[in-house]
Amino acid sequence: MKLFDCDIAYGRGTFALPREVETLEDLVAELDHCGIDQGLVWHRDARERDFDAGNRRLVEADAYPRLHPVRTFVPTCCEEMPAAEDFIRHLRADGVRAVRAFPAPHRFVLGPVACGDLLDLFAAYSIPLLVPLQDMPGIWSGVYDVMRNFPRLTLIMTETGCWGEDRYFRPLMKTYPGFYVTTSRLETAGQLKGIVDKAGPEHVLFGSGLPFNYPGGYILMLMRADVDEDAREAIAHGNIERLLGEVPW
Amino acid sequence: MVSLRDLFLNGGGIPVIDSHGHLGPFNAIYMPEAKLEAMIAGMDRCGVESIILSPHAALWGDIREGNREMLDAVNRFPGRVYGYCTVNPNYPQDIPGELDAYLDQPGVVGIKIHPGAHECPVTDERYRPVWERANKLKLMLLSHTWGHDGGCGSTDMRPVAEQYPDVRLLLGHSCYNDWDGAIALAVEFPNVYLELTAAYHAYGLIERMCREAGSEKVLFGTDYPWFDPMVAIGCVTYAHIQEPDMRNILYNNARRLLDEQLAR
Repeated sequence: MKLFDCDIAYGRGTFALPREVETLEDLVAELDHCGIDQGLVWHRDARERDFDAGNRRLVEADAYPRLHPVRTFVPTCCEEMPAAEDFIRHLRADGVRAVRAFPAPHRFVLGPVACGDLLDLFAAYSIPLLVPLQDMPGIWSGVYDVMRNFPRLTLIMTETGCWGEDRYFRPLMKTYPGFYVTTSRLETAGQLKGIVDKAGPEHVLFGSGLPFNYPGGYILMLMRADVDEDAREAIAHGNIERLLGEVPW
Repeated sequence: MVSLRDLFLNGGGIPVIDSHGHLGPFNAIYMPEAKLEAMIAGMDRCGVESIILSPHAALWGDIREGNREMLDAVNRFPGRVYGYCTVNPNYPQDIPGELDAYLDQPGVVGIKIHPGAHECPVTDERYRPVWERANKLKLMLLSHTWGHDGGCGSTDMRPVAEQYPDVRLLLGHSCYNDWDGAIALAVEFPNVYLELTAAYHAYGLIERMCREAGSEKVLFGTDYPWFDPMVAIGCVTYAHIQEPDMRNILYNNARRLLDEQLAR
């Protein structure tokens, strides 16, 4: 089955990992090992050091058509970023169809006051926004605020935690069609089947969290989950292909 | 020859033993497979032959009820379910009686302690009768371990590993995030094992454990019904290790420890 991984990173970070994925060659080798066809990729510098440096490093991913770069942003208020309309123009020019934010470690609020200019445009152009749960100020209450303020946004929460967070995210799935979670750390027994049965497979995307997690865990979980093949295909690649296909470039 | 990875990927597998299980609901986490029957069905789905468990009721609340629930599960599914007798050091007066009541029961193969949940360092005097009994009987003892210190980190586990060399000491979660400390203990002490629950997801860790401590010191575990065994199986079978190492982790090591206890 085709696998499209929505959450993969590379680069040397501040803290050593048991096994590093330093280069794009390392990354591609692991994707091959796991049978993963395509991925949305970001560079660890974008979170840990300088978002702009991470974005610039990602240019090298252009050499790999199977890798789709994800651009990291901060608010435009301090003029570290282009104006919102210009940022969108750059995304279009560079063929980038997804964005990332790390609000808590980058010290900003992902809300209408600080980021309304950007988030309104992301919603208007159907550009998916990926955020790791632990980097969202207020954690789940922060996610609720974002969806309440931007109900048409496509928000993909990654690394939502292994502790059976369904009581937090199932209401969001029921209320907002554009709310998604990735499979990274979504590992409570029976959880995936429960989401598919009760909320629908359209709210889950295959995302491994490589190099922090073994992709194989989430591959086997998905392949052996007690869900029908259409649901499995949707999670494995169909949902993210649909989302990226809605971006008008 | 079909690889273990492809075997699991295509719906098959090999028998697996889960050395770190629980049972029943727990407030802090939504668990669709918490009931015993659902767990057995889940184990069937994943090829888990046996699980060694301590019910949530034995960890939070009145542990005496939880130990009764453990024995009931062991008796209802002999060979599929084995039990740890759980002790709570906050009720030290109960410890000798609980150990007496359960350790001789068929299918009860060891002791579970949770220094984190019970907010009692593993070296606390209240645990002494537990360690002494486990050492005397050469029991498996599964301790929740986490990090470097704080009561159940790698530095806390060192003195008990040293002092009680006959305890088959399972470092639950492998001192999560203090991989150096946990692996060092497993290397230094023949009686110390690295248990994978929650730790299994950390990319590259399984390779490192096998390389430095040896795959014979690594035990498969999932906290089931917390975590889907397939996630952990996937982490093991996609790791860059040899298949004999995978078989040690998934089955052989726990089988050896279980057989030793069952012959007691």
